[in-house]
Amino acid sequence: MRKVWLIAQKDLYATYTDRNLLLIMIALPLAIASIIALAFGGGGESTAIRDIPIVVVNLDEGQNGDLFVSILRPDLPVQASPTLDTSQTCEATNPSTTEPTMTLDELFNTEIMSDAEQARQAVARGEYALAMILPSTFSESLNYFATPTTSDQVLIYTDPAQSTSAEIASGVLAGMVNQLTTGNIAIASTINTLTDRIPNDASFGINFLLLQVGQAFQPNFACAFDPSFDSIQVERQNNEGFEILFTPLAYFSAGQAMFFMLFTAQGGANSILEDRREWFLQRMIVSPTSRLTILLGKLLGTWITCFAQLILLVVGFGIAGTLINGEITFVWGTNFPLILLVMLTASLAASGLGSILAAIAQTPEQASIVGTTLNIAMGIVGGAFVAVFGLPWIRPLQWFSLVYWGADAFTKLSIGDYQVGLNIAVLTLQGAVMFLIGLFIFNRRLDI
Amino acid sequence: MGTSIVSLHGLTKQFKSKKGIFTAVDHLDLTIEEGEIFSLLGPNGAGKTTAISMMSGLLSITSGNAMIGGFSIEKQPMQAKQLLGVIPQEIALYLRFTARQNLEFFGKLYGMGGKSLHTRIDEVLEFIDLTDRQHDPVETFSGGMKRRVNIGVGLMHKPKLVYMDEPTVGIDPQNRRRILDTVFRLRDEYRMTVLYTTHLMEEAQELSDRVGIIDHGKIIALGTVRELTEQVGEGDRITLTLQTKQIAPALLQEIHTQLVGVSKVEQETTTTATGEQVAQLIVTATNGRNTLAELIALLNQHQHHVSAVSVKEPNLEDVFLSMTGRALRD
Repeated sequence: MRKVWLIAQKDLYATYTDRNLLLIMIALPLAIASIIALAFGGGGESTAIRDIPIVVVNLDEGQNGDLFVSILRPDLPVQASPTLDTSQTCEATNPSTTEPTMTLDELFNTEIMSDAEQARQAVARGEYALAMILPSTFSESLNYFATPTTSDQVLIYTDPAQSTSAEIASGVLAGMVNQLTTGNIAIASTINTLTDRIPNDASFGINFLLLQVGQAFQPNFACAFDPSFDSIQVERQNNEGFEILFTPLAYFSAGQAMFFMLFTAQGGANSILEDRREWFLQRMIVSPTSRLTILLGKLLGTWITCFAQLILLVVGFGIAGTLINGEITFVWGTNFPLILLVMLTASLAASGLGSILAAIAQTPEQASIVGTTLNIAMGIVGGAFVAVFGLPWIRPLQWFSLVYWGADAFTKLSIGDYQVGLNIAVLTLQGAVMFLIGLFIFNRRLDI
Repeated sequence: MGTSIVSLHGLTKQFKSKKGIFTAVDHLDLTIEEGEIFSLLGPNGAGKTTAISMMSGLLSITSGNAMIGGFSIEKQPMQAKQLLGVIPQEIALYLRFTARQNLEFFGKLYGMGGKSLHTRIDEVLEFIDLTDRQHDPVETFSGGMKRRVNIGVGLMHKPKLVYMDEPTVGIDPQNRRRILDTVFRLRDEYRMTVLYTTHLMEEAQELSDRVGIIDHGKIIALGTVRELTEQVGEGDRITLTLQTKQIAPALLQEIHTQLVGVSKVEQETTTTATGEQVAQLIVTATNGRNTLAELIALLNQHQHHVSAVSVKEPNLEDVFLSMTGRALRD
């Protein structure tokens, strides 16, 4: 372990005494992310995510399914909704404190399908971030006195590759369904109270029965979707702590940080190859030091460098965001333990990639060509340069991109979504597997 | 002397290429005794560095084995490497480190630490005469100074055996002299064994207790310099340019029979700078310098005055030439 640290120290010394390298590692990503963010965000302000592609399958045999669909697709004709006019009957008991900035049809780009399996497959292909299946008993289950069954469940399928937009969409849609359910419970509770009163108050009981017979008592579901009453708006979600705004600086800083970290890892690979060219590596090998120790030392050095780069970048992005926004900005959120964990695993993955590169390439020049090509490809599919929401053809490639997994985790954290376990697991696995492959190749190539 | 520190048995290295299999080292058998300076002499591409690379664990061994101080470099590499100090042909240093930092780094790789490490660094710096420049980055050093640090690194852990792979390549005569003196000091002051590879016959001849001449991956001659030159079967070659045009055959016969150690006498004609044709006498003798005085006296006695003299002792170049038909530098 002492020798591992010794070799790592040498590489750290090499890195942090090289001004040009530091410039590429820190200043360049900081500048590029800020410029892109300014270009997208017009001063770095948050921009709402729009047009998340979703598909809804309405199997409901009643009318409430149509009503639900009509909220997502107001352009479609509504089959039956005498209660949609909410202007007279709904009263806002808990009005939203902010004006809505976006309607649901703006948030979602909703397609309607008739076949649930077809919708699931479309999500699997990455064409949609989410599929929502309204069951045939959807309206039935909203009956005041219905006993819920499993067949009443609204099913939501999400695309893990579009996790950020899928999370947002499922959160909003689940909220809509919950509101219907909440309304249903409230109405059932009211009716229970009223019917309990009938035995003790004969005149009330007669009037209540007359109202039921004449269908004059009819709860208005549309109230549930009245923005002034109980918002399903973006801002409403925001007030509950579920940030669904797209902040260009957060998004692009994550992508750029990951992207440039790959170049740092590539530098680690190059350092091995340069050491070989300069005979420094051979001199280490002829000492009583195992190849595993040497490669571990190199990995550790690269890992620490990548991690330190991310730390410096998050500080830099924070300063940039603060300057742009005019207020203190934590660009990737404030869950610092999780941010650090993602940083550690992301830098491990990048270092692992460097190990493979060092083992495969014969010369630093070769490593530069292969590494740069790989990094740019990973950066593009990982969203380091353009937002890749809703680009289904990129989805299969994203799984292989360290940039994607890291940037996605940072973006999630920046919007207060702490579901980054998968990202952390994938990055750790990628790092470990790539290091082991690198070590295997490095050991196999005995003739240095 | 007496205990072997290096034992190579059938050491072979083959490289596969598109053209087929190339054998760089071909069944090398060699034993090097403790405390000797052993030179591996051969032209470029003869297999010297490949052999050393296998012996130091840098290259895999195709067949055969290499034992260092009784440890197999393949099966007990850590123990074997601990005995080795490798001084490669390349400046294998981290140039942005200072001389002291380089020594410290490699000292630690050999398991050194604490006060003893720093004491040893001071000793090595003094040995390579760079104490006053120890805190300067190596990249600011001259070629010769870099070479000295390169040597110092290889000596940090007080190895029993030092490999020096063409350490004088590309340096000036003054630094070259210093390195050759260092090799003697390693043997004489520090009791180290030195395995020295070179393609320069003069270096091998000056330094070596024993020499192995290697060509096409095989040892073609092995022994002390004297033993090797004797293998060629020739003595010193005395060449005298005379002022006369011809020597009588009777005199040639007299030189051959009267002078002690003379094995061969020849006469040639040569042209002087003024265009004059004169006789040149070529005498082969076991001890040329001793024979020379008697030879000149005999020639004077017969009215043959000498205008130029040269005595060439047989060397390793002659050995290599006689064994391969090629010069070392070909």
